[in-house]
Amino acid sequence: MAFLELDTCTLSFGGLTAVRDVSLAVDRGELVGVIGPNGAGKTTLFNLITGVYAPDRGAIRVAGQRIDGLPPHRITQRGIARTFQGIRLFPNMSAYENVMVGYSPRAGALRDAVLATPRAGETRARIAVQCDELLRLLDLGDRRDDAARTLSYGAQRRLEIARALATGPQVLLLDEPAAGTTPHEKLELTQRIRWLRDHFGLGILIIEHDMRMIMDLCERITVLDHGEVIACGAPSAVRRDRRVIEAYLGPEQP
Amino acid sequence: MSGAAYVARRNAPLLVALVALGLLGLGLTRWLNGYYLQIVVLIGINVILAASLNLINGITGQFSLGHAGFLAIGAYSSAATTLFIGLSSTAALPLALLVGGCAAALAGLAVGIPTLRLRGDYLAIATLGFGEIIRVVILNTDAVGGARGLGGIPILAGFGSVYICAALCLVMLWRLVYSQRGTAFFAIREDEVAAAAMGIDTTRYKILAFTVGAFWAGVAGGLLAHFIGYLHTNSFTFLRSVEIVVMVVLGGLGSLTGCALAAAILTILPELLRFGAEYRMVIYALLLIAIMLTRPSGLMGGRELSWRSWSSTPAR
Repeated sequence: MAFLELDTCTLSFGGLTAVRDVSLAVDRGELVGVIGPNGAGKTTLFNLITGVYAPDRGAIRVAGQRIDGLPPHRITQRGIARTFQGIRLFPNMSAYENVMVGYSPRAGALRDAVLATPRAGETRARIAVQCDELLRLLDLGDRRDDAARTLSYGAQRRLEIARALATGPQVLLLDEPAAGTTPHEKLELTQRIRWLRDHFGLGILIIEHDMRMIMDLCERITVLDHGEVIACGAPSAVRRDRRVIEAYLGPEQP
Repeated sequence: MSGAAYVARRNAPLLVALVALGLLGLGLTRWLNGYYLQIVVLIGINVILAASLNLINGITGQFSLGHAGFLAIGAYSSAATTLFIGLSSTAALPLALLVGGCAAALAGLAVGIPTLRLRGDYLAIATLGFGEIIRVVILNTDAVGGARGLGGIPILAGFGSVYICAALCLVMLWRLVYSQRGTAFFAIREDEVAAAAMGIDTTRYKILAFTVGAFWAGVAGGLLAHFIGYLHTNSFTFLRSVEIVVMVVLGGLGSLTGCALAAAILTILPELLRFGAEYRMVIYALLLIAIMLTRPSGLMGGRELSWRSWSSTPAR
């Protein structure tokens, strides 16, 4: 049984079926890719997993327990973290504070903070160390106190990953992490994602348009088109799949 | 028992400050003339109001225009406590303030739960409506004086009690929002969707902000009632809410020290401008515009005045 499992999930908006009978599994330590043409339902799939939407039919399980219908913050607390396609950092807060928000739900009671109890002191010291460690791991140590909005595009993407890691996930969802980055940054990102998987034992589900990157990185790829899974398997098999080629390039002319 | 010792040590400076404020209050009433003392006390009350609204508006980002409503509930309920039970010793003041604070907090909870599904302008309109409802209800309740106002409230509050409350309020809010768990308040202001994706129960924090903010507004109301000795609904109109919003914006959204500074400036300014006679409020408004033009993100621009981090973003 995989850590995260989608079992024939369907979601419609009025007459439009955005996601139809999608099944998917990501276990700890796995790198799984989701690809598909624009509007195929990839980001909607992420929103479904993270509780922004609840599926009309089907089930989503984390560690064997149903999570569909739970609000987003509960799902995050169960060990699913995400980044956003358009970066959604807390723009006026420093890099350090952005990461700290990820720890917030596990940072002790507000009562302790208000009364300045010893527990509050211990928590503060422990989390400060952890935040700095995460910033260092993602090469943001020297930007610690800079407001997130002042960081470069690449640094903002890394900060989003650091912030997601601060929630203590088992499975990390990355929504187009390489969008708008240079070829050099893409190479670096590929290595970084692999390293994160190895270092934290994370399962990583990744949406990406850069085919070379995703073929190189993922062990399994699920291809969506018009909300349906049209192919699923190893990169080498998906690459040759006739339906996948048709979805991207259109059917062969007679 | 090292836990209790730790808490005592961490809170010792606060206790010393509170005692000092109390003693200073005893002295000031003797040395300062009534006019100046009144201004100083009103500054303290406005600091509490501005700081408590800052938690809701500036820090959690929930635009509320109903703070005068919470102030009114606190003022009338705590006045009723001393008047109707017939308490007239200073020792009754903490009880009266607690009643005022809790009554306002309950109202904050009651307003918070249904209206927090609203965002931005819609929330502002709903809270504005709430404030007006409170005022009209009090205006039509004969038991608390109705349109005649409520007089004869024992004068129990003064410099000491007001500044002790202000200090407690600022320290509590500071520790709340600058704790690691409390960063959630700022995160909700910055991006609610992202905050929820970080595992933060955004609804709970918004209701907490409303409840705590309303509690302190209620305490400020109790202090006002027992300092002036007379209450009338005319002091709790929509304009009063706007005045408090102006303090928060002028101080810099999210800055507790900034809004305290702004509360002081905005209380003193109308008094300093008395030379202008009928042009007083025109000059006041022009000065406000001038300040906002030269410092568009408020006096402190979201930063805090502190020993450690004069130059960095909010001190943590």
